[in-house]
Amino acid sequence: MNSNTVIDLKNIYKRFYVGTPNELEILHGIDLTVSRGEFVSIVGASGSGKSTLMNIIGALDRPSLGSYTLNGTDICSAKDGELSHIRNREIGFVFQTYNLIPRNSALKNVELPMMYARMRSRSRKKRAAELLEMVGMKDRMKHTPDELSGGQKQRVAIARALANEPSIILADEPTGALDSSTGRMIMDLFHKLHREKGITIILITHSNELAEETERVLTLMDGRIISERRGSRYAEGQYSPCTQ
Amino acid sequence: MLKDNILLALNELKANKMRSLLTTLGIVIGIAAVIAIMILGNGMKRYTVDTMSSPESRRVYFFLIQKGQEDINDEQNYDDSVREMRNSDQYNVKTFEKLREKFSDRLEGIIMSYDLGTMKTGSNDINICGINPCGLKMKGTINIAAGRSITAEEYSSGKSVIMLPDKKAEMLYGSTENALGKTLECRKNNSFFNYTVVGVYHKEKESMMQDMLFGSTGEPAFVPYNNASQKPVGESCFTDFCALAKKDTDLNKLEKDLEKYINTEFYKDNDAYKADVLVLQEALDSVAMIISIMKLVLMAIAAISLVVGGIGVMNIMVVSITERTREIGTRKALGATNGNIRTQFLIEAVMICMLGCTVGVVTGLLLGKLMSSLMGISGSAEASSIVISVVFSMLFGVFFGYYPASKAAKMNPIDALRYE
Ligand SMILES: Nc1ncnc2c1ncn2[C@@H]1O[C@H](COP(=O)(O)OP(=O)(O)OP(=O)(O)O)[C@@H](O)[C@H]1O
Ligand SMILES: [Mg+2]
Repeated sequence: MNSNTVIDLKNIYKRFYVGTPNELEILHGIDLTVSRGEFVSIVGASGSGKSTLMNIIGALDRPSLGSYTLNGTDICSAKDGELSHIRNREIGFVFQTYNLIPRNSALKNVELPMMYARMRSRSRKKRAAELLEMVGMKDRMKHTPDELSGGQKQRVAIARALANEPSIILADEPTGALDSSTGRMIMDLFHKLHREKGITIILITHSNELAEETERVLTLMDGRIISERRGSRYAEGQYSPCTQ
Repeated sequence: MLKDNILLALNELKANKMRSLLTTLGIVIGIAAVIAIMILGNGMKRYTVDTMSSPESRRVYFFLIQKGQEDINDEQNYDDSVREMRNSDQYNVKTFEKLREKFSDRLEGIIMSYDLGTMKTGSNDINICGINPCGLKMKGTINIAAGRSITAEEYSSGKSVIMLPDKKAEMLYGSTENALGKTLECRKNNSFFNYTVVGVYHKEKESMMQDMLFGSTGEPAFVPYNNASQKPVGESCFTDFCALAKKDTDLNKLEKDLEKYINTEFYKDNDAYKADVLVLQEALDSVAMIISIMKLVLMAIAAISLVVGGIGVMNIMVVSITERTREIGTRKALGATNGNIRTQFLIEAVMICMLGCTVGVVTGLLLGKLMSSLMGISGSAEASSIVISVVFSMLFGVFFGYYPASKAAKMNPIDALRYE
């Protein structure tokens, strides 16, 4: 295994038990290696198992079979507490539905991962404010999620994902609920993070257009990776730089 | 982290104000009842001690009963065929003299009181009561406001002197001072009575407890017993009377000794009747009984509402956790450990209980004060009872919050995130 490897999935199976004897196998032996600083996108039809795979990569779920090493840690044998720690420090999640904590200000939401990392109140407030400024949400820090638009919510969620300087950002259809121009803005933010901070990003998307902008495009079909190629517009840099 | 969790919990409580308040109602009632009980209990204890030293509590009752009866309340053994009571069966001045003589160390005197009822004076009504010095002691806390009290000489000779209550004196003569030395002309049916006003008294307000125990004595004008009664003590006979025991007398022993003495001295040869002596102890006991029943009822209410309240808290926590399943999933995705989640919801449950406790303590203090002032006792809460309530409600929160909090902690992050 290359020392530059962040994610190493070998022969991953995932089965759900929907009451015996109906055993539902969703992932049928996935092999996937992601190196540090890569920007990978996963595309595929609805129900092909993209989210299921993403949850395993994000240490939210365990594979039924196979081995998974993340930054050198064997996820399959890790205890719940270790998985919490890994999710807290190594991974930043961005969800399609934003998943901000209701009734908590943008600032409080961004502070959350740092709170679980036991960072002191003052320093985490400072960092949360910096992150919100970076995503262009400085003047909305005190607002609660219900006072923000979808795009604004997703920017807060991205700031939150970055809180503990994770090595990987996992984004499951982050632009799925946004109009195309707002989606564009979020995508630009990912490009900026990738380019400037060298963060590893795995993006699930239904938009081929957005997928083509990434370094590597994986196509999933019925729980198998059927193709893997370079994004057609990745090198060409056809995406516009982040504009706020 | 603790501070964050407390702020978080407060935030949630604030967001669901109505729900939080309704949830805590059981705890509010429970804690309020506990505090009120403590205040009442304290007041009662103090009141009983006070009452035990009041003259009323030293009253000794003398009744006449049939020889077959156990005591005055024994109706089962009351026999209709027994001959009617004659004057010679009754108590008279000889009884009093003997008692004064034999029990001078334990009896202060015989209580004499004769109610003349309502008389007319001009266009006003006035209640007049004949009493002796011991009798006056039974009429509540009486202070001389003007003039003087009736003298011993006036009492025994039955002089036509009168002591007015202050309100009456002001009504009749304008002021208490003005009343002194005046002659009060009274009329009842076709009889006329003239009294010289020698004093005006003020009476302290009677409490409800006092009323319950001894009955209201009102505020009549007082004249010497020997003047009021058609026949002076020496010529009368009585079917019952009261005496006043001296302070620090063992009343139960006195009761037995008196009964034995009178029955051997006066009623040994009586074919039908005997004396029955009673002390107040029993009345006090029955009041203590009422109070302890009240306490028990309140305790039961407290216990029931605390348990119901606790289950209410548990229920609302389960509801809240179900509602916030996605939030729990998100927190776990962001790195919250099972312990973090459990702590968060435990603190929330404790905060709900403490909110209920705070409202309950305030309500209980008001309720206890109100009830004790209605009953005319002065109860107060000890700081310790409040501290105990707070600690108790915290434990309550932990106890009833533990199951929902654990349920939240054990949620699978994926299932929680996928929850619709
Ligand atoms: N907990 C579960 N129990 C049973 N079946 C499940 C569970 N989670 C996922 N599945 C099934 O796994 C399959 C893949 O689901 P998944 O969410 O990974 O699809 P997806 O590729 O992300 O689809 P979409 O693009 O619509 O988000 C679906 O058929 C789904 O019903
Ligand atoms: Mg999906």
